[in-house]
Amino acid sequence: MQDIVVVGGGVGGTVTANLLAEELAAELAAGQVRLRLITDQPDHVYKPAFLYRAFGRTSPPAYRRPQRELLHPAVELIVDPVRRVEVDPRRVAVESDRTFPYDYLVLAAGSRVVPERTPGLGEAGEQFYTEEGASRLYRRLEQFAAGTIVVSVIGVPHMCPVAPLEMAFMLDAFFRERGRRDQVEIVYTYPINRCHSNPAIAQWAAPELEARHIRVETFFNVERIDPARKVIETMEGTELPFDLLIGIPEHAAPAFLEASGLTKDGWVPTDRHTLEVKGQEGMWAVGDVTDLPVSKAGSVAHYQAATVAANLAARVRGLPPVARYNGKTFCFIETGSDAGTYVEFDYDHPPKPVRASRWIHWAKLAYNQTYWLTARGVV
Amino acid sequence: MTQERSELNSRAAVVEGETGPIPGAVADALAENGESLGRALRILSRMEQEGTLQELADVLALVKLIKEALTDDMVIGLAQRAQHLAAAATDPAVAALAGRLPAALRAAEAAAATAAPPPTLTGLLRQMRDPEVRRGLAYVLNLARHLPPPTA
Repeated sequence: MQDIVVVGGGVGGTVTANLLAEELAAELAAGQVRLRLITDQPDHVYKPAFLYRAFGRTSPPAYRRPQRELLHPAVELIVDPVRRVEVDPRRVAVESDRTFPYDYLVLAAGSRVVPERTPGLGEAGEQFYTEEGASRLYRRLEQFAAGTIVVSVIGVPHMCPVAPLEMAFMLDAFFRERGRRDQVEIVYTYPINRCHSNPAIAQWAAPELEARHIRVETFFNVERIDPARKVIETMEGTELPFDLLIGIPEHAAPAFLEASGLTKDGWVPTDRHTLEVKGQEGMWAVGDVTDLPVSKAGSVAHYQAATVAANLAARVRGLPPVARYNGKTFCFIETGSDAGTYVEFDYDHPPKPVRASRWIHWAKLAYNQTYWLTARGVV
Repeated sequence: MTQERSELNSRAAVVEGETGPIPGAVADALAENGESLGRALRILSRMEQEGTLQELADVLALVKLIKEALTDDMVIGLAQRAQHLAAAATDPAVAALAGRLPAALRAAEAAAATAAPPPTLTGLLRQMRDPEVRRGLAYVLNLARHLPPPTA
């Protein structure tokens, strides 16, 4: 019996487990392989919906499904937060003190926001990277009549790298549609000398922001927030007042990975093509947890899952793993409430955004509804 | 054709300063297909004025989007699923059942919609006197016999 354990019930873990279940159907039916997915939540959440949630354009039933419904029947689901990954002996320990042995391990535990690393952010800032945060922001935006809204990228890397730009564009549309745009100033800040870490996306976004009269502050590294004065203080020595701060907090890998000694500089060291965890035998990493120079986006985890599933199945069968991940990334970009574009790129080819249109916006809306087929590994 | 080409080159020379000369192959194509190209250009112009051309370009961007979002593995997976679905849908047994199913479902729904109390055990047994019910049950039992997944 060979034991495969997938840690994480997001898109990366779910797709990897489902692809493995299909690929290894014969071995699973014969009892030669056991496939487990361990996650801390019974529900699977489609996180890109949080952006829409912040504007009241979706609700929990649309972005939440029981994890069990999305998994192939041959995958054993364990809902129990991981406490530690041990490499000798090879096993995963969970909160309830159970342990699960593994011959092959896939780390797909995602990333988490850590607003507590920025003084004052938790008290004075809103964010849309969690369900609670997006729901709270929804209520704040509905009530926001006039003043300055700052969309500030505080921590890089973060989940869904284009989401802060989308937030700025959608805020512009939101207040225009309500006839309050002239009473609301929107400011977008970014820590480096352009408005996005990807040069091609930054080049595309700069005139789009300007056209919407969204003020951009670059080289803007947030040091702390003063909740009493409602002011952002930067490492550069500047101050920026706000009435509503939407701060993109720092992100981190789940704490158990660091406690298990599997991270370096906060993330799991991963081979950029094979996705094997460096220095570990029979262990792969997928999605946000890796230290790769790719977006922490669902599409990345999805594409990576195919590589890991193929290589892991090959190893189970004693064959050489040949699948390689090429850095492929695909992201929709909402440019308002009724138009969107997208970017596709990989390690060797930069993105080239196409003209924004309602058709692409509709494609994004349609994808939001069909995401569950993606999670099942159908497409 | 030589005269037409010469005229084209003359007209081209007017704007040569801005756009450069028309390449020979283009001039030949214009000369040979002038009438149809003229009609096509008029359609194109009308589409542009109506905004249809822009819509068409935007729709075509969706084709590019799909191509760029997919991978070889995803195309293979989709084709496999489409093949499985098509094979199941065209299987004579599935087609025969699908043909009978709507009427059976309508009858069952109609019976369930009445406010009558559920049948007693003896009432259910009485229904077994109906040969069609017995045939239906035998069908379901036969189905059940073949449903379990194959054992290793």
